[in-house]
Amino acid sequence: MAVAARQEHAIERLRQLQEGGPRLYSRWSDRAWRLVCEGPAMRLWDAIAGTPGAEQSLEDYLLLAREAVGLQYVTASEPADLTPGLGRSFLTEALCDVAPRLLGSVQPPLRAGALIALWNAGEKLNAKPVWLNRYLAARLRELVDLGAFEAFLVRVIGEGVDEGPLSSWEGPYTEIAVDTALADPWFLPGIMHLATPAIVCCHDRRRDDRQVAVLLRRRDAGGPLCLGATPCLDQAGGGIEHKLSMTQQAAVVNAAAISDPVEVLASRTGFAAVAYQLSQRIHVVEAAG
Amino acid sequence: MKTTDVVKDLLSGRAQTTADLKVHLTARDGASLQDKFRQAYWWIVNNAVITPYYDVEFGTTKRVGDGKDQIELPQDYAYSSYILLPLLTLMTRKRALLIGAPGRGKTSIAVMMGLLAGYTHEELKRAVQHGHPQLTVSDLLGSPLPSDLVKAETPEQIKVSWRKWLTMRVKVVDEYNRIPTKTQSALLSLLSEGYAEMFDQFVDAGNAAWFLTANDDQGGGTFQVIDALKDRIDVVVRCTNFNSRWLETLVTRVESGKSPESLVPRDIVFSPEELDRAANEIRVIGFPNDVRDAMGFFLGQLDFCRMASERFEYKNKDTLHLAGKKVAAVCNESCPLDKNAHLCTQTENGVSVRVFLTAIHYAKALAYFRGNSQVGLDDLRQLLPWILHEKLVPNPQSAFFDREERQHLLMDRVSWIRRMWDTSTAQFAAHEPIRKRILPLRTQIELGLEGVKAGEVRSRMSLVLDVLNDLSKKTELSGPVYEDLVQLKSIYSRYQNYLNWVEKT
Repeated sequence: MAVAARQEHAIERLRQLQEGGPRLYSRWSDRAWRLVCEGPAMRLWDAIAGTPGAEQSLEDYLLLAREAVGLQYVTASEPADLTPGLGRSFLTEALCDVAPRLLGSVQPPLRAGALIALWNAGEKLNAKPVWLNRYLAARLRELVDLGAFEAFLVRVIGEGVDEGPLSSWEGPYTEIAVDTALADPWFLPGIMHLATPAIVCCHDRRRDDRQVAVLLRRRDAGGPLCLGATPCLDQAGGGIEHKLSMTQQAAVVNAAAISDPVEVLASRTGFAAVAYQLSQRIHVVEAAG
Repeated sequence: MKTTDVVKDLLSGRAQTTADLKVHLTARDGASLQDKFRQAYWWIVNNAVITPYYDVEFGTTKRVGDGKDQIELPQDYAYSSYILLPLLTLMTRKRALLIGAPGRGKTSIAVMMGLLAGYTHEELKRAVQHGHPQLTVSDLLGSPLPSDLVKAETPEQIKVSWRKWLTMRVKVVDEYNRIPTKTQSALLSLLSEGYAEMFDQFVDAGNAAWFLTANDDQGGGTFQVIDALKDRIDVVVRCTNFNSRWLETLVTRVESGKSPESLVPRDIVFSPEELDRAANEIRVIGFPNDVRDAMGFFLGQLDFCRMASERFEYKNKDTLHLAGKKVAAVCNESCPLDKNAHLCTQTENGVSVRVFLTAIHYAKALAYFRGNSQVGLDDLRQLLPWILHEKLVPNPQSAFFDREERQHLLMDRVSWIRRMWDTSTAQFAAHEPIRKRILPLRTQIELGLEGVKAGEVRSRMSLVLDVLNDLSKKTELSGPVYEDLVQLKSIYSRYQNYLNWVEKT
């Protein structure tokens, strides 16, 4: 009976949340809400059902999801829009992937706090530079413990903005290819610039409004990472120019035996991002020293 | 900023845990007010008032069709005046007259503005003032308590029970042309002075947006609307007819039993503080000099009448009206001005200072709504037809309207006024050389005359005289030239007065 009563209460709360949507938000999308309920919310429920406080955790999640749909932080017109992927905002990834994936492993009394942390970070990031939002969104896949969320953010942000030690561009050189087709099937790498010392913004050679971002990361730390499709990431600011001069760049191209590149962007921290004529990949060359 | 501090900042936000470990979301600070007004507009257009007539267009247009019946497709944003103008009225706290046949949604859109201002539907239904022939001043304003009337020995002892609607931020008067004349006068005091008075007691109506409705353009109906009341209207909104291709929406509405008024989302409801803030933000929207001058160039020439008098200062339509004459009496072959080129022939009257002020305010509001930091010419082009709709009276006897292809302009005020504006804009560009000569003279006198010696004053007067001579001898005396000559004469007179004073002392 208690179970039945709880279920009835849960259904009633769901109905109230749903009815409240159009009353609260002028940009409410019934379709997006249904997709959230049928997709990430269902997965979340599967992960926590039967545990103490499961109904309350689901209600907390749906409250945040409704706010996200109403304010168009999360938009969707088909289920694929809510599956984890490159190029999504932090909040979309947090609500549609991280919460369903990890909330089940959080102690019931701590779940509200975990959801709150995800929400606050996601909403604040909407007002931060785009590169930070997209960068952290792409890195969220690596989060395995919501209890360590704060420490995760500190580490990952550090990696994204860290200037790193200056390189003398000595060999040997290793090369890892990052496939931009994962982010955009028609992408052809072209002009590149640095958004931060560690993040490259690469523009499509043929289409003006398409960009893909790549994290420059040492091989032993995981190697370079495609951050997905983004708007053009303006430089993060700061007076330090991390690109090499044209002369230095030419020397690097020579030394690393990079042949016939279309575009090269070499940084002072020992990375060169290279685009070739007929390749959708960005080849990241790393100097040993 | 250290990374740990950045993260701490990210993690503190409006989601919080309650004492019983639930998630609580506090209210959002909100996007900019401009964005909120745009959201409100689009919600109304998409959900509440069905109007596919997008007659406020920006940017270039693409023409479809040929001959007389062409369709212009805007290449930039386009809005429906039916929704936009009431919204701008709410933002500026001005007065809109909604006209149209019965059942066009005049009262609905006014009520919608009240809902956006935070009132409930119930409050608004009770607060709408319905015009009818028996409406008395007491019905409108309130009345003294009967017991006070009996007991009081002086007027101050009588307490007036004022009607609640008087202090609302949105005031709706339905069918104002059915209010009897005496009561119209009470309404006029409220509209124009912003307060009501009874038995030596006053109630302040506060800063409010007014929405008055009437059933047809002429403002007739049961009682003639007094001119002073008509003059207080800032903008006219034409409520459009329903397009039958959207019947499906009406079917859904009947089936659901819900009206849009009951579904206004909370995130487009404005608090009094937000409306105040918007009003202040609108005031600081820039009004560039060239836009100001273009507006002045257009509106300033409408009052001009070359044939009204020989006396320079009296060459305006007021002179004719005071003599009981119409413009047509003098606007004929004896006036040398080309009736096809000069705008003064087309109107029976000019515009008052109030119209200038309204145009400036609404233009700022429109620029604000569009997300611009200053007013553009296109803002004025879209707004002036609605602001001047009831203010400008055409002169149907003008030779300008003799041509068959211009006859429709006598029926369609919006097109007529917009066409005049376009003509004026072209003339404004051609007038540039004259403006360039006058501007430095005006700038100089606006710096003031303190400490300026008599010799310098004479030299400046000589420059003014040169320009006056050139203008009066070499250019045709038209509306714009007349305005310039008036300006130059006033500059000259100021110098002369100052010189007289300097020489005396």
